[in-house]
Amino acid sequence: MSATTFSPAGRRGRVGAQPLAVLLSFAVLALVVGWSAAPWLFTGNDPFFGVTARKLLPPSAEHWLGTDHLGRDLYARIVHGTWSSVTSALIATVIGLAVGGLLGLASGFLGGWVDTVIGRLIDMLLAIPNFLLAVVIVSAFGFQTINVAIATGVASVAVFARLMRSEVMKTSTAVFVEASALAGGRPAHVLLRHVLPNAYRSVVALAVLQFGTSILTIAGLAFLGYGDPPPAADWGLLVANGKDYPSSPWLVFAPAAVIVVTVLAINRLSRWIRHAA
Amino acid sequence: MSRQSFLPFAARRLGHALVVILLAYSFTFLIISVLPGDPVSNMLLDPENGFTEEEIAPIIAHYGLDRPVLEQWWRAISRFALGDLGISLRASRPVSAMLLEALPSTLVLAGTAMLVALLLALAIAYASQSLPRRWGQGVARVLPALSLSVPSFVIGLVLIQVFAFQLGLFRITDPNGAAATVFAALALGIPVSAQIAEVLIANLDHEAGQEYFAVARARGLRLSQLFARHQLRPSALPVVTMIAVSIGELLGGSLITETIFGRKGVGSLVQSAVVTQDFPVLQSLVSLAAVVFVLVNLAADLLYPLLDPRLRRRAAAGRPA
Amino acid sequence: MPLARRALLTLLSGSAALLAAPAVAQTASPRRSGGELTFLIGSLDSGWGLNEKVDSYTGIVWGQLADKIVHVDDKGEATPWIAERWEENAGQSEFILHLRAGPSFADGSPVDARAVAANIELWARGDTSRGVGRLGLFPSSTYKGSEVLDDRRVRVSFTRPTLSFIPTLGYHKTVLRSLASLNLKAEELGNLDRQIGSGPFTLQSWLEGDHVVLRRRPDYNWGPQALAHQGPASLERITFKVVKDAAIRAAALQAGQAQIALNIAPHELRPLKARGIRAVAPDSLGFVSGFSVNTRAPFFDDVRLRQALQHAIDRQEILDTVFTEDWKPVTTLLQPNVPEAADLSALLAYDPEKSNRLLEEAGWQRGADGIRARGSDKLRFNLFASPWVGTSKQVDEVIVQQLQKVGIAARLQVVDIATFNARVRNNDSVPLREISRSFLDAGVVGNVLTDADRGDNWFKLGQSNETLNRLAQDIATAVDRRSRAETLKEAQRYVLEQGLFIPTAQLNQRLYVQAGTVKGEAYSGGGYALYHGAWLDA
Repeated sequence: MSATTFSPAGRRGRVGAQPLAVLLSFAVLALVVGWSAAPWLFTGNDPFFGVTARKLLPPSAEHWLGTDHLGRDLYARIVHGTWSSVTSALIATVIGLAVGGLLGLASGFLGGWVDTVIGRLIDMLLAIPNFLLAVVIVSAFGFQTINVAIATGVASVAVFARLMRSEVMKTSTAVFVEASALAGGRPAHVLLRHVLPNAYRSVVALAVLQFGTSILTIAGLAFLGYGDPPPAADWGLLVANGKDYPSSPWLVFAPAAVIVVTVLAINRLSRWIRHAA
Repeated sequence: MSRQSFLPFAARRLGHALVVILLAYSFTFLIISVLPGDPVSNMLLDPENGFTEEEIAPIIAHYGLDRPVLEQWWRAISRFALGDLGISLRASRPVSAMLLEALPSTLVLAGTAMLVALLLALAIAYASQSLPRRWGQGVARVLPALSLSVPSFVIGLVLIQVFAFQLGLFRITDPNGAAATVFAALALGIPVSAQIAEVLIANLDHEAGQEYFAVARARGLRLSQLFARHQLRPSALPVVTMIAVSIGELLGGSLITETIFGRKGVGSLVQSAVVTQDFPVLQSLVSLAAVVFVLVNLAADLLYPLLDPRLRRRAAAGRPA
Repeated sequence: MPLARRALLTLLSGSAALLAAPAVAQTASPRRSGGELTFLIGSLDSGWGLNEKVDSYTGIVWGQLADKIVHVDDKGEATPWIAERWEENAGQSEFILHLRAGPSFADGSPVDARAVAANIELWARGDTSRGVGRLGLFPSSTYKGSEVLDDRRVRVSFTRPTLSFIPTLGYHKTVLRSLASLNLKAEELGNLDRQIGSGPFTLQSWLEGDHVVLRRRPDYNWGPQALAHQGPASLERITFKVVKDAAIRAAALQAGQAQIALNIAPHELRPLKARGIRAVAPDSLGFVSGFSVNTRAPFFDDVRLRQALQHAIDRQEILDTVFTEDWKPVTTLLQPNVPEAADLSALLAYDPEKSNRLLEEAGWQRGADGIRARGSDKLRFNLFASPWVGTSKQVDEVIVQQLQKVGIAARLQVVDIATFNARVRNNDSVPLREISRSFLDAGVVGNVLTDADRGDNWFKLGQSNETLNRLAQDIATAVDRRSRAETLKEAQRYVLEQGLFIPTAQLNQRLYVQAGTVKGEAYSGGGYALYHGAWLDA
């Protein structure tokens, strides 16, 4: 039995798989893509310029999600903040996945001194708590979304590398892989046919989580005061700024709910894609 | 693993550990040297004071902050190698004394959080295999993603609002009490538990699909036995990896948790050291984190061969595990 | 006192009369001895070392632990404390301090002339060998020396008239410490156990950056003469606890887990007040919040542009949006309680029409995007929020919107202290620099106008402006307060007319939000609390 054709969670995963849930997830994704591509189609309110006399209004028919401390429409701010939230989280994930994945792959597959050198580098990166690393990088290079994304990505390199390495080692010692190597399979062949397809499961799971984590890390940095300057409307920033207004709880819960729903939908879709394959 | 292969292996790992710690120290130094300013001018150039740059120059010189970066690095690292952590530029106290003050509280918090995280992850993972398929398992599978999608400070703020201020279960003025510690550990542990649960579930599913599992099942083993014997054990390897990785997460997360719960600890020390650019404190903390990390990973690497017999053969064959 | 009445009193007293509020309450309920006060504070990060290590947070703790030579009230008036009286020569360059008999530090050593002289010497000169700088606000440039005449008399001499010397002695950083504390080694300076004061409270326990617990000193009998309460403090204990997040401080206060919280965001005050919690905004001496204009920045050498900015800012909208009724409108560049402050509200009137006209005259035409341009230059610049003022970001957000209305594009930047120093100080491309500066003597104003005598040169005009040169010179050499006040008023008018300083709101760096049970506390001219006379209503 080859592991590539084997889809373990396929049978069991469908357990909770309601076609409805997948459809809903698609709808959420479509909405998010729409918000980032053409925000003005979804709201007529100005996300950056407010009427201060209408500040901190609770949700109403006129302002679906209420207004913030400058009287700006929160819904408009969420919609207009989508593009930068999504791209920065993507950048962070891609950096972590690409750099970390390659390092882990090389380390686990090649072994020897490559493993040693990469191992030390990764250990060093791991040894510095992610969040601290991100804080230091952001304060060194400036409080811009792109820097926050890069910092978050760099900080997650080690985690990807570590997981990839352990997955590669696990599968490359599996019986069928060793058998393939003994049967004279070239390393590249073994890597592509056996090691990668088997290792990807955990790594993709982590990458999907990392996407959500990146949005949250950006929010966390904003909480500690390392945010993009106003009037930026990244989701994470909206949550972080909203917590200063506890008597207007919608300022926290509305953007937080958007983050949760988006991350859940992406998670659901990624599972669906893996199982459909 | 045989004794002959184990001892050199452990010695090599210890050597690596020292390299990693010195690397982490130097790396932090490098990044900090990119930061604008220095702690002394940050403090003195407050507009309240009306100092000019010329006036504070001798003070900066006193701390050696005007020297070339390489010279500062060499002085710091040679002191560090001899075990001298230096004096905090912010607090005018020995760094070692400040570390000793902060460490116990964070160790208690991180330990409790790890315990909380493991228990939660196991519970969720078990639920994902054993609950009624249609809804129960679905919910269990969504939980990790759900708790990972809420900003951790929101979890902390909600916990503190509800349990400290509404229900009065603990006081913000006594953040090291038992109840306060448990809730802080919950705030810190939930995201970590979600990560462990994700990996655990993915691997449990994998094992559940294996043929031997079906065989065991056909033999009439109960679900809890199946779970413990056939699913959990093989999944332990990636979980141990995740735990080792999560130590950093816990230390990093303590930055936010300690800030919210008003706990004095390594996290809040890091936070104030970053804000005030207190290099000696920051570098010592990073090295401390590195020491903790290296130890935990050493333990994890030593555990791998015990958990997975296949790796035992490989280690015996002389390749680093 | 019934709750409703207390709430009513709080409402009636507002902020202006809050200093008087405890006095009103005093008649209603008798002073109670004992009790513990919990005070939530945002930071105690600066440590406990000398001089500049006393910041606006640790300064509040020091106010209970240590005494000062004089007490300075909210009008800048110095009254006796450790010094029972003082003499000055006609040229205001020599002062003799007569110390009170009896005070002692908590380690038993006397607060005598030797100790006082050693403290003054360290404020004036610092000690570079231990990495201690001089005290920023101390008039060090004219300081000659301190001389012990006998046990209870110190002579302090200056090379030139120094009107600001006596008021500076009431500054929150000029706290008296015992000789042993002054002489600690560099690595021991931050050890609060060994920093000994002579105040109404002594240290019980502390944890670096986390909390400080103080206990009353039973033999204390040398408080400021101006305060109603004499003898030992009434409170048994005060706990200062660090809670970094302002929203959590507010919630803890609301839940009754503390009696006082420092600095809660203004917009959260209303729900707290509804529960009988008072916001006390003590008047503090200094400049108001606002911007000094760098005339070397592109376009800002043009007085019309500066004036346009002055009139494009709607200060009432700032008050309504960011602050509460505890903040008073600004009338000049000095805080309203500074005796020398002039009422120049007319110069600060909101008049967008006038701004538009001034900008048109200066050749700035509105473009298609609403931003004004002159030739290929667009009227846009970076506006940096002050990292030292909590409300700065919110105020600047409103200002950015207001400037947008007259076609000026200001881009808000929020950075930390290090980045602010690196990117804003000495950077002539940044036109507006946010000012937060308190003082106890308005003579400081003369020192910011030009670069003469190591002046701060706020407007980057050096000594090129004859009017400013003359004003600065007159203020620096004044030997009597009344004539100096006239010069100061002229200076305010000139600076505002020229659009060199753009005030925004009253500067309120210390807002004490406290339960109605806290009574009898007092405040210094810098807005620092004294809990010597405070008690908790049962």
